[in-house]
Amino acid sequence: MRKQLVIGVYLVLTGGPLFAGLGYSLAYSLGLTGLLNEGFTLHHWQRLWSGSDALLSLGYSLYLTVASLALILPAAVLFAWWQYRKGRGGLFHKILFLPLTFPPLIAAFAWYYLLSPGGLLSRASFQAGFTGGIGDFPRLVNDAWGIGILLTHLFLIFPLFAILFAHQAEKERMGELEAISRTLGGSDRQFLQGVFAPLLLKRSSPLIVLYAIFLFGAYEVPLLLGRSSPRVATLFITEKMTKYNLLDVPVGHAMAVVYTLSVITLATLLLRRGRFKLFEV
Amino acid sequence: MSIFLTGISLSCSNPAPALSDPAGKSWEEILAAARGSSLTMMMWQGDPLINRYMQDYVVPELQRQFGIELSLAPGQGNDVVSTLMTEIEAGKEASEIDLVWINGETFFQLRQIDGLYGPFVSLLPNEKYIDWDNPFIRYDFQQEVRGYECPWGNVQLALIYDSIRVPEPPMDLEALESWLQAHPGKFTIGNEFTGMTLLKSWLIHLAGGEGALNGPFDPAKYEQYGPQLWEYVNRIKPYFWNGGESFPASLAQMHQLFANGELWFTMSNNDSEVDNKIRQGIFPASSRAYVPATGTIQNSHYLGISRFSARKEAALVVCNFLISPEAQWKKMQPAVWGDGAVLSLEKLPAEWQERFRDIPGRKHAPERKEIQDRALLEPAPEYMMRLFEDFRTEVMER
Repeated sequence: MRKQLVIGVYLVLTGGPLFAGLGYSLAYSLGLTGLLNEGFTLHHWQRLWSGSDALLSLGYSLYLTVASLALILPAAVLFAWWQYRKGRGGLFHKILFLPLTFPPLIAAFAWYYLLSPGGLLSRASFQAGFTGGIGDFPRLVNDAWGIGILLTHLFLIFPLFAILFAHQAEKERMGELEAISRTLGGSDRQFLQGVFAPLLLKRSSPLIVLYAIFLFGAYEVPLLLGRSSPRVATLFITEKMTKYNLLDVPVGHAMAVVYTLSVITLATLLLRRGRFKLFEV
Repeated sequence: MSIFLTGISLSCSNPAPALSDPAGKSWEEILAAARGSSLTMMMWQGDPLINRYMQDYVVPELQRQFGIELSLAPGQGNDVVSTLMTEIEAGKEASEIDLVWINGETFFQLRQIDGLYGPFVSLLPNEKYIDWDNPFIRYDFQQEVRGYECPWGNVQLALIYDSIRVPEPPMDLEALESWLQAHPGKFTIGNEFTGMTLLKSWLIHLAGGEGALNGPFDPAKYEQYGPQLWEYVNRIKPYFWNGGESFPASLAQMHQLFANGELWFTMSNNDSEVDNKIRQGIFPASSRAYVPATGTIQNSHYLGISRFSARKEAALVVCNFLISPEAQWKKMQPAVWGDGAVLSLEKLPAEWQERFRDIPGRKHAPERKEIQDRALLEPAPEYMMRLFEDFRTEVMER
């Protein structure tokens, strides 16, 4: 009974503001509220989908989310594998915590100064004679593939999953599982691919989903390191709500509704499909 | 569901009426009511010299002369509008912001949401010195200010270049295109206010030059000249910084790219900013400002008072101080800010006329009188909105 009460209060405190905000944005996008709105209309929704801008933004956010996780998770699994083989500890394990202290904006600035054509790498490359000037240095920020964004995400989030996986590997009695694998004739690679990695990923699925949502809603890093077009969904919303045309504000709210519903749907589907308990981690 | 309904009802509630109205009071009564007040001014704080002028001169002087405590909150046009709009939508009784530093597009938006108090400028004793005959002061984005905002400074868009790398800067659109072809990657336009102001200047040039877009927004003119502008911009885009694949999101980023040599051009809405930036060590000493023969937009920036300010008397006193000969003279010093004054020299007492004439000249920027004949009036705000929207669809997404 007490547990149910705590969960109920938790849901009200977390879900309440979310659904109130969602309701407000929905009402705004439908013309039901807002200073310049004049009553119910679907016009703002029609404007949202009238060009490719909104879809491109959602697609770009999705690309950055998937690509970031595709970099972070294998790297973290391999780190846990390395730790499992050599035993936890060491200097590297200690300094791994360092990036976790960086706010995303600071990390984005740091990577900008490192990777931009006028940045440290470019200067070092020029001094070493590899490049003849700023123009010769490859574009690693504000680029088409979001390389700077992906590297910054890797820097910020890899340590968390690396530590988590290493810890998880200890908890899962991998030694015993490896012994069984060996008995059945499995190689190192087969154990890593067939048992070690899937087990860690499955056990950490709720956290992976939460980080996918976090990455989908990234703002500061794409703001500094991304391209002007397409821009991520959060930047799309901010731009519509705060730029020169006040009649774009309801369009920004419509996108906020789409974004929120996408995140809720994604989370619900992924979590239900795997039948994970969120509090398992 | 109840939370949802509460959210909706809150958002629909009517704004509270203004808490005070100094209209009808004598200036002495306004001064007395203002004494001891604390008020907040929201302003752009992206320039250390401007911040220093406000923090080290204006704030202490207001306290010393009028017993007013002025707090500065960071935020420019869109922040001002968002904050006031949210407060009005939430039905907040008194605004957190009393005074705002704005320009024409923000003025247009604040008038749209009825967020400004006024008319108030005629209440200010120093209003008599304002150069109202100057159309660049009297009109803000083609809108007569009608006492709802008080002129504070006057500037003109200038391009800034590195004179060592660019011995002869291009003076018109054709020359710029040729220069870009010879020097790819060294020029760009920011996807922000200053970049859009340059595009507006080009649009006016393509439409026939000075005065071609004066008057209310004309969709037919925009439809006629807009495509010409986009055709030109798309033609030179491949030679922009980063191949035209992305555009700086802020002027600070443009300046930084210029400072580290990635760009050989940047720009500023303040024609004398180059002197400030060299003095601060941000730009190389070889930086120079110029206005191309095609002309650039000159405009004024203003002070507005929130309709929901609970300290309007204090806001009036601050405005009056900021347009005083003393504060304007100080602000105009190249070493202080270098912002153009909005006062008419002829209307000032003789001693102040002399002091204004003795202000040291600019070192790396052209004198204002040299570029005055290349000054273009801001077109109506709708041009800015369309340009900003179409820059994305017609240029960035292509």
